Amino acid sequence: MSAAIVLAGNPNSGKTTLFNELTGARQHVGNYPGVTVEKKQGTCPTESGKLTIVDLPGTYSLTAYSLEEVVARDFLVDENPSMVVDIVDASNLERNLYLTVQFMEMGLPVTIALNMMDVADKRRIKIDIEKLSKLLDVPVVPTIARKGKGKKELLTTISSHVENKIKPLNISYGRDIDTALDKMEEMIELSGFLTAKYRARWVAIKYFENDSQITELGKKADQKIASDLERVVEKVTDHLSATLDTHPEGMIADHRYGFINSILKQGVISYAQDRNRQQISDKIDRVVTNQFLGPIIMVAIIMGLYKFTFSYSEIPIGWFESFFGWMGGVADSALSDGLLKSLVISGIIDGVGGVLGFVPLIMFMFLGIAFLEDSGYLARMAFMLDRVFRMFGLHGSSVIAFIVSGGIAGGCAVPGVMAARTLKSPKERLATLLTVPFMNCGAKLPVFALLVAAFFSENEATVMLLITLISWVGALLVARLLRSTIIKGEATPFVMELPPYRLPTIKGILIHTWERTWQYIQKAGTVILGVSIILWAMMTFPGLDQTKIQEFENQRSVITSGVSSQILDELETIQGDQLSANALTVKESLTQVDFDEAHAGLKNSIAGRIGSSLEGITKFAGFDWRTNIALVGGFAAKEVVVSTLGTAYSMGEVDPEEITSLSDKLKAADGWGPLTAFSLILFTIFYAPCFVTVVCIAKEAGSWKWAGFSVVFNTALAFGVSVLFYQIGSIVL
Amino acid sequence: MDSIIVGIIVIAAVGFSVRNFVKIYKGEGSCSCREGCTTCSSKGACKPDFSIVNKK
Ligand SMILES: Nc1nc2c(ncn2[C@@H]2O[C@H](COP(=O)(O)OP(=O)(O)O)[C@@H](O)[C@H]2O)c(=O)[nH]1
Repeated sequence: MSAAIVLAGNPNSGKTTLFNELTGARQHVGNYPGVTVEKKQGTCPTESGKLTIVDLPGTYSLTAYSLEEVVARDFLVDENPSMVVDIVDASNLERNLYLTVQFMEMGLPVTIALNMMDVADKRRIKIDIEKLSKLLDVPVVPTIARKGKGKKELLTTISSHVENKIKPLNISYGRDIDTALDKMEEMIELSGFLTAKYRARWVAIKYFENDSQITELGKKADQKIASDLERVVEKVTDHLSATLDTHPEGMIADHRYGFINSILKQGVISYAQDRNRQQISDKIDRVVTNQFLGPIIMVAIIMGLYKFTFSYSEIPIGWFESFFGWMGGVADSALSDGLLKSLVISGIIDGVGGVLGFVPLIMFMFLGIAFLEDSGYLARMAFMLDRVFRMFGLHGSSVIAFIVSGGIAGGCAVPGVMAARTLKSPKERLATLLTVPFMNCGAKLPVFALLVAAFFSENEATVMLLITLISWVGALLVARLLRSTIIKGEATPFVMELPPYRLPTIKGILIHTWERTWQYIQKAGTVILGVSIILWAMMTFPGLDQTKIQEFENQRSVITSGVSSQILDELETIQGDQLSANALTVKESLTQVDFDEAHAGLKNSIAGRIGSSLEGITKFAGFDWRTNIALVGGFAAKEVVVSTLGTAYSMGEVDPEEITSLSDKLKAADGWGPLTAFSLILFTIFYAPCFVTVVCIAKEAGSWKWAGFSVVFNTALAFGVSVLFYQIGSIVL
Repeated sequence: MDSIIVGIIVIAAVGFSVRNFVKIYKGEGSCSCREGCTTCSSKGACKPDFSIVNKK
């Protein structure tokens, strides 16, 4: 037998662990066709032949709300796997079965791997496995993926069930919907509407769930049937909202949960006698999420995270800097003066190297965050912030979007924007979309790290905490402003369920950390590299015209003409520090001319002109033309701010052989100081989201109007805040 | 020689970046970690994987 099976399940159910257990090293990672969701595939030998195993993205549901769900669904429909192995977290049965039920509604053959049995045991949850299997009519195998327990039994069960015929599950969704479903099913079957791929009843349910993918496919397949179905749905929707004040989507979810509960209540799940014994988790939570202690602990933990990150990354960052310095030296001696050398040293090594130099910092930051995430603390944070969020007109679950976007540091606004999809109220959703880009995403981190290291090296962690607080307060205030002006509306309630604390595994944390660090490196080596090269070109061309070059030549001649030939010989032959005093003065004057020439060239370049033209207004915030170039480049991706500053300060460098880090260069440069640096930090927190995020906002908000708004509004806000800070700071300091 | 190599590199960078941005614009790369964000909240994909349920 050689069958293809898929692993599916909720996020955090242990899917990856089980996949690794089953496939070992026999796996490879690719992408699902057309999208960039990762596809892990592997094989597993069994007694009856080789199994091909595909790891589906972890999802809670099978709606069309997120890319992962659509990918999972499409894969199941297109590939028709012989078995869906649904990994169910035994300690969280009700919620996990919600997905199981949906597989069964699709008519797929399901085997449940009831995972985390050890956790369920510890929490004294008893599950009658046989009964569960009988009532659901699917095989159920208990497993503890982390220990590899139940693997054999699971494989045997899969092998013996792959060939079985299955009966799709039909759940009752209440009389109104059921009657309509019957009618729709008939219409669909008679016309063969989408039935080549999907079950008729399932399509009908999806129409009720207002599933964008299916309704769009429907429109393309048969306009008439599609609008007939929509009419039926509309009628039921109106009726439901008039009689029960609910909508079909809600009804369907309620009935699915109802179905699950009716099974669980038949003695499938029971709690051991001392059920009211507070679980350890709850005990911890009484302190950690306490109204007064909670926030203090939260700030302390974040501060601890930053302290940990900055103190441990300092030394390896030094290594990285020396490494790139050494590379610069090698390139300097290997290449002859000219464009190529400038590209390699100023554009690539000093540009991209500046971004890569922060890899250790990123790594330690992610390590800490992975720990917080895996342990379950991040969920507590969201839980506590929920109260605050509602005061500012955001939905409680917006917190998740904020944390994903980098609320603590090192996230990304793109998935943050996507996470806002779970919000049902369009207004709350919009307010969330527009404010998540203020968080400290992983791309802003190197910018902050650079400036903090250069100008606030005494209090790195404190300043980082301050940055985080400013971004949160700023985001919340903007949300409040938006919610009481252009997107007015009521806040909707939200209940959050906290997962139990879990001691993270070292392996799990290392994998999470590495995945994210690797992504950072990959981005630096691709997107940032590309943009850096373009910006280098923009900072190099058109260069100086002939007369200007001649002017600098003349200055050199003036300097050298008055000097004896002996000193000139000395300059040619002897190394820097052994020069006589006279020769040294001459050399310094010549270097100054070189510097002036490079500086003039840079200023005359395309980017230089753009930067200079903005200087008229940005000077109020303390930014000179080079910073302006960096900020404009930062629209492509925020890391580019660092790489561009790296290139800009490398090009006018007096002595390229002298290895100094970018932060040292900034410290020594004119016009830079803590005031300018913090003004730039403020600007970076608030200004226009990067290009990708803007596109994402446009897609999620359904219009470019809001994307444009976020670019203009955020930049104006950032500028206002920076100017205010810089001007007041200049007076006070 | 120098200029030719530099020219090729710059053109390649422009091509690569433009292609990237077009892809993102068309929505093909909107959720890709490599082209979009540095960190995705989960393995290879941009899903928030915090174990929090939005219960009604
Ligand atoms: N106690 C316990 N922990 C498990 C078990 N299976 C997985 N885990 C842990 O649960 C966490 C989430 O697992 P992972 O495989 O990453 O989940 P995924 O999101 O579904 O891929 C990891 O820390 C695993 O080590 C299990 O059976 N028992």
